[in-house]
Amino acid sequence: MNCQVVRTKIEEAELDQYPGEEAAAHLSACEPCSEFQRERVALRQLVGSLGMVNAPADFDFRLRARLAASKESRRRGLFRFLPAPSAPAIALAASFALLVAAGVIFKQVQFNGHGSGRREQAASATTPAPSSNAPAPQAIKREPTAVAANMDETKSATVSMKHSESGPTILTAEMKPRNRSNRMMKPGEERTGPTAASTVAVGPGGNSSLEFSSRPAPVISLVAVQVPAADQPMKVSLEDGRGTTRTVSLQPVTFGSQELIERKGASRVLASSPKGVW
Amino acid sequence: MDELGFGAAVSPVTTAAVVSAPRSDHALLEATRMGDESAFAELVGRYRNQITSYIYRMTNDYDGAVDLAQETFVRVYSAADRYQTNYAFSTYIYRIATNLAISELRKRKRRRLVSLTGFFQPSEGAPPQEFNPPDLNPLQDVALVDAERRAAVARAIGTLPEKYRAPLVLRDVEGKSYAEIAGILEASEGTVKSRISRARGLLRDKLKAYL
Repeated sequence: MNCQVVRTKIEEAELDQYPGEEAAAHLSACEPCSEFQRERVALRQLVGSLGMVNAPADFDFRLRARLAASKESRRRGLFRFLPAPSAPAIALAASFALLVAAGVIFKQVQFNGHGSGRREQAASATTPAPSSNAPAPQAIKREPTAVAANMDETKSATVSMKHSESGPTILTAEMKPRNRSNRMMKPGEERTGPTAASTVAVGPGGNSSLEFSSRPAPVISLVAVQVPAADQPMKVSLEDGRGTTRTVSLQPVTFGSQELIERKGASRVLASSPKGVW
Repeated sequence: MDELGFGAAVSPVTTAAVVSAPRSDHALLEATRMGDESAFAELVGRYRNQITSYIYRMTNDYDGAVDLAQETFVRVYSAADRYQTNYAFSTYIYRIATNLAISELRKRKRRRLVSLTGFFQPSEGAPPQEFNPPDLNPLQDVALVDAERRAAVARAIGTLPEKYRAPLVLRDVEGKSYAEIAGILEASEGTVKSRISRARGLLRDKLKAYL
């Protein structure tokens, strides 16, 4: 038996296994093979001394959690070609949200058309043609007021202006609406025409006002009135020719935080507001 | 014979029912396949320490070894329907663990940073040596010496190539037979013996101070 065979036997044998008579005789005679056997046994004992490492105490618990997660992922894998279950829910929620929003908007429109605590009437707000007899050369656009709504189309309106400093100045202008849609509506009467959008609210004292919250207010062209721009408030009296006179307070004209101030003996200049707020 | 049964002889069926023999791994896996969770728990109890220890010796990382051991059992559970009883269950589960450990080692190898000192090693083309030879000076505390020796052996095993490391651990640490190792590694017994011999030769050079 040569050294190669003996060393192979040593490698393949168990630690406590006797190699056999022939191998034992060879080992007793061959010093290198004997040294080889000693090293191999020592090495295997050294490696074998590492021993067993135990699993942690929560091994089973963590494994159960992992198996549950694995089952869930496999269940999802079976339906991976179907749309995600959350997609219909999202679509349903979005539809519901749109429905609720539409309902709120509809309710808001209804509330504006029939306000609580008020007797409301439907009224039209049309745009009458500017009068050809207007004394002012340039027409200005002004939002309708209760006075304008009360104007009769066949009668002229008298505009009187009273300045707080320089005394009253009366200007007269004639106003002719293009059609009859501007007439005052009676309480309970509802306009059915296509222009019936704004409403006239009549208060307990008989004062009426127009409600334009539901749609933009119509523009009524009135007479051109030259009003001196002053830095003081002024009052303007309006007379409809039937004895009804309304007085309107006009605030100084401002542009943002800049006020147009008229100085005596000087041209109009723009001065910054002392507040400095834009 | 007493009609009430006080002195009656116990039938063999009753004996078998009372002293129930432990179920084999195949029986446990079959029960697991039928939905018996306790059977799988028993299977886990049999192999959790072995698999954790084996993967730890392969990777030298305890937390990673526990994670891979759990992954091993998850795969066993998931593939219980496809399990075939052609070979032992231990061979089957060790094969899964070996594949996971080798995959982890290959991932580490891709992530490993190469030391700059490796450029100055004398042997050209040799892989960078991660093993530090132990200090030969004797220590005072025997426990420290023993712990240091085990750590040195573990580090030395960790430096072995994968194809040598797995059969060596299975043979010299886990005590598996050559036939079992061949089944686990899906190689012939001759290949396994050759690789183990080669691994011992490499390890002897690294641990010469301890021999």
